[in-house]
Amino acid sequence: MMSRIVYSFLQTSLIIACAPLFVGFIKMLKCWLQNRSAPSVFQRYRDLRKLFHKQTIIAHHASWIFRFAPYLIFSITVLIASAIPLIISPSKTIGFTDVILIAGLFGLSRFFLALAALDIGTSFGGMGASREMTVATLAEPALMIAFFSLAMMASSTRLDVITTYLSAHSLWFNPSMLFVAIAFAMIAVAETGRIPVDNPATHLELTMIHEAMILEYSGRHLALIEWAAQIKLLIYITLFANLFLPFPLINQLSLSAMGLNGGIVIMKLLLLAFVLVLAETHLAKLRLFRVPLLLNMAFLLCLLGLLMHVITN
Amino acid sequence: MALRLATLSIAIIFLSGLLPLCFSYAYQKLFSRLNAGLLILGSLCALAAGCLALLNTAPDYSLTIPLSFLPMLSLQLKLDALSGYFFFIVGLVSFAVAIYLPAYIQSIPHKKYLLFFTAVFISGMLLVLLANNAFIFLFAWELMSLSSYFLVAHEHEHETNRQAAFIYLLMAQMSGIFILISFGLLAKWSGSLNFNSFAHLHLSSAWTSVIFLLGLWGFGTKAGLVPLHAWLPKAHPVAPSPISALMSGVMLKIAVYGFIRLSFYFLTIGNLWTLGGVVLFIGTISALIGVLYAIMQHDVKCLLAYHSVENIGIIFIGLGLSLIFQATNHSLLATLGLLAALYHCLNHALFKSLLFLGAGSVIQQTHEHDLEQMGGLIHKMPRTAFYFLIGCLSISALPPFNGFVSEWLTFQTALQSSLLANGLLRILIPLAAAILALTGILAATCFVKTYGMIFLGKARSVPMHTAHEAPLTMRFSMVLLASCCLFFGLFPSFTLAHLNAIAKQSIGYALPAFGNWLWLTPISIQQTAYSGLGIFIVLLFITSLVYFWWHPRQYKSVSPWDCGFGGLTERTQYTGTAFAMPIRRIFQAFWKITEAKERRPSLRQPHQTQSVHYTLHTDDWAWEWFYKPWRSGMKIASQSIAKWQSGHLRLYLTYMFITLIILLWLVS
Repeated sequence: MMSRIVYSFLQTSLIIACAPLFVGFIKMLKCWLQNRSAPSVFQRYRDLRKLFHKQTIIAHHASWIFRFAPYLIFSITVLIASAIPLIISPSKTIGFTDVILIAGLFGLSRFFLALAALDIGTSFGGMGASREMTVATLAEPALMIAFFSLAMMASSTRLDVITTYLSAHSLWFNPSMLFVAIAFAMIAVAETGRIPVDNPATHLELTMIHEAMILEYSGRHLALIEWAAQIKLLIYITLFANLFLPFPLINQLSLSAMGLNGGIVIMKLLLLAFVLVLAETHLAKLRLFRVPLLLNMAFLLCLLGLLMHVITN
Repeated sequence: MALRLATLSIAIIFLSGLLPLCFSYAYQKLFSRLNAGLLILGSLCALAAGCLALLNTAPDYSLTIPLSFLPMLSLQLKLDALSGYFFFIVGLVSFAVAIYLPAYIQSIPHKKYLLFFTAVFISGMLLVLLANNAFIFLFAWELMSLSSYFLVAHEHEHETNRQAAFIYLLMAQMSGIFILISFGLLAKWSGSLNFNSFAHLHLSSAWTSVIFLLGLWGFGTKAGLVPLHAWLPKAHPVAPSPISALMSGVMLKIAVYGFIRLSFYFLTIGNLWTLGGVVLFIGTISALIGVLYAIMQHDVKCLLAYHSVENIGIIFIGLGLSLIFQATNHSLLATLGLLAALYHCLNHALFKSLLFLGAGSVIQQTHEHDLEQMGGLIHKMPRTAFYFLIGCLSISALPPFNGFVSEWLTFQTALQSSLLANGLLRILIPLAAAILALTGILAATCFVKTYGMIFLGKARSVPMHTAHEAPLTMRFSMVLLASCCLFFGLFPSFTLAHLNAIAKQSIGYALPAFGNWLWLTPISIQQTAYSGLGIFIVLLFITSLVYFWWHPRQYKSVSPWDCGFGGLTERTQYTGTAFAMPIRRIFQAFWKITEAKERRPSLRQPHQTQSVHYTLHTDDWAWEWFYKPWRSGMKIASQSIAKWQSGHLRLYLTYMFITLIILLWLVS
């Protein structure tokens, strides 16, 4: 038990520390695929370091919500990261692993980000907040249904129990899981602000969603928000890798099992990064009012998955 | 003891209402202080009585006082765990409102009538909870309805207020009639008006369904279930804010209480799961429609009123689940659903009255209801802004506040639907849970909009610049409610353990364990575990760590990014309507939207546009589809009856003659 707590703690630190690396890797892969010369894998760390050393500037009538939000958002993301099974399924005592709670915590961080965006009173902030909440409105019910299907299979809403269940029963080829997996991928894309829902590399204010909200942030505040966004991406990809792909985690605490798990997870993450990059290179960003179609499809796929589970059991 | 305290609280509150009627100029100050003091004391007595009744494990307190002037009837009162719990809710909210009221009504005309009817209203609500007899219940119910009618019509100088109050009265009376019929049928089968004889009646399934549906209609009208909700967004905005807090936070709960009393205590549902299904369906629809209409509102109190529809929907989802599981013999899950609904009653009472009181403080300072005219108040009213934020977080069901716990419990109940044998229910219940999730995120969107428009950004109109912080007493009641919101979010196991007595009485099953003070594990530790306190502490810890490590030691204050063009004013901010526009476009079938753009040409050069006028109305389909057909039906019916009423005496004599002949024919 004690060792599981220690390992969970280490694993959380690993997720937080490696998130910029993973995003840097995606960027590098994308450049290679598009025949551009790529920045180093460690570029994101350099960006963060630069932002941490820059002066923080704040608009004149920003209230405490604007100043406070980055710390809260970063902490919430760290808290969620502590519940994510990367190499081992985390201990309940360190991570709050309830899936409904995880959705709720993401909601809390989104709530404060949207409030911070509205705080300055520029149009961009309002636009970003409005769009972010709209996309969330469509993605969140689908995410909940995806979690519900998993929870009903494992008859538990605890992520650690679900992971253990999946490692005991290899279910990835189950039709219900297949539907939910496709839908989960769409939801993850929408929630982490990637193409085709949002373009993280855009410089046009009018097409931004996430970037429009954080337009007023600078220096350390911006660094914390960017880092939190990177952790969020890694969280979603890890969840997808460990819940829906074949070769689930081996539920043992021995070093060899953890080594094997680590190797498999790294392979899966590289594979998923490649798939993400491929999709981002081939797809164009959707018009805002096309996004509902995509996310409604995700919702219906989740519902089909759930229906299939109900029928077959 | 508890019952005596309860009757005492009713008497004190009623007395406090009589005092202002004796207001004279000489003793005005004395009387108003005495009135406020008595109201506070009475609410505290109610609170204490509720706590005692909940803590009590002995049989219920009951009391019968014979009324000598009415030979058939006596004043039968009873305080059991359920009524004790609602007593607690009424007492708590009334306490906060009683502290808030004196500072608020400074600026209100005819305050003595307001105080009188408020006292009658609160004592009426408490008497409903105490009634152990259909007659007393209905008497108290009408007392509550009529006094609240006068409260809604308080500022009757405006035509719209009178109209809203009239609609409210009409709907309240309709609800009363349905409850009357439902109780009348129960009295017919049990042979007595006493609630003890109603308890757990075994009726045929047809009669059970009829009584159940009549009760659902009656109590649902008062609670504001879709499509019977239309009075709610009309009546709440026109009443003074503390009264809205009482009506929305407490009066709707009294209707829920009545429904629980009827469906869990009086009727034996047996295996009629369809009844639970109906409740679940209506609850889900109410939750969704309520929040969608709320998003489109720009009057802050109207918006909050629609949110009441949403939250009542969530409560009825819990009740529906409980009824379904009860009918399919899953006692544990039925208990869980009931507890989720009961918990949400308390939570909604707390955060909704907090939000109404917060909105009241803002309105008192700025005399503005319209979100599009507000903005930037976080700088003028920082404390009110903070308490209002807690209300927003709670109502949006975000952890670790109380709204999340009750929705989480509802989700947990819904997720157990795989235990059911019925395939239809097994898929429809998770669907209802998904709609509940949608409701939650829509509520969050709505409150980002509300909070952003009222408190954040720049001031959009002149009165915002002159606003000041609310007075101390008003802030105190907001602090009280806000800390309750946090407390009931952090210590759910503690609260649920006390609610178990209600489940024990109504379903006959109490949850064996809830976990400990830290972890809430309603089903089993393997299935789920939630710790509000844990999350709060850990989040607080990490946030302060991150803050002390990384917060920049100095800031530079600059003007916001304007793309290099300059000229950002309060008019260039995003408006509430613009914020909700994507939602409006995606869910457009839910509203009756009338949108018009009018271009006004310049007088000198007609081809140039001088100004563009944009009007947008999002109206409630319920009026179109439900009320207007009713109204025209009533009109046609009354017109056809009017033809018979010529006013000539000989015609009426002929009617009497024909009636007598028919009666004679029937008798012989």
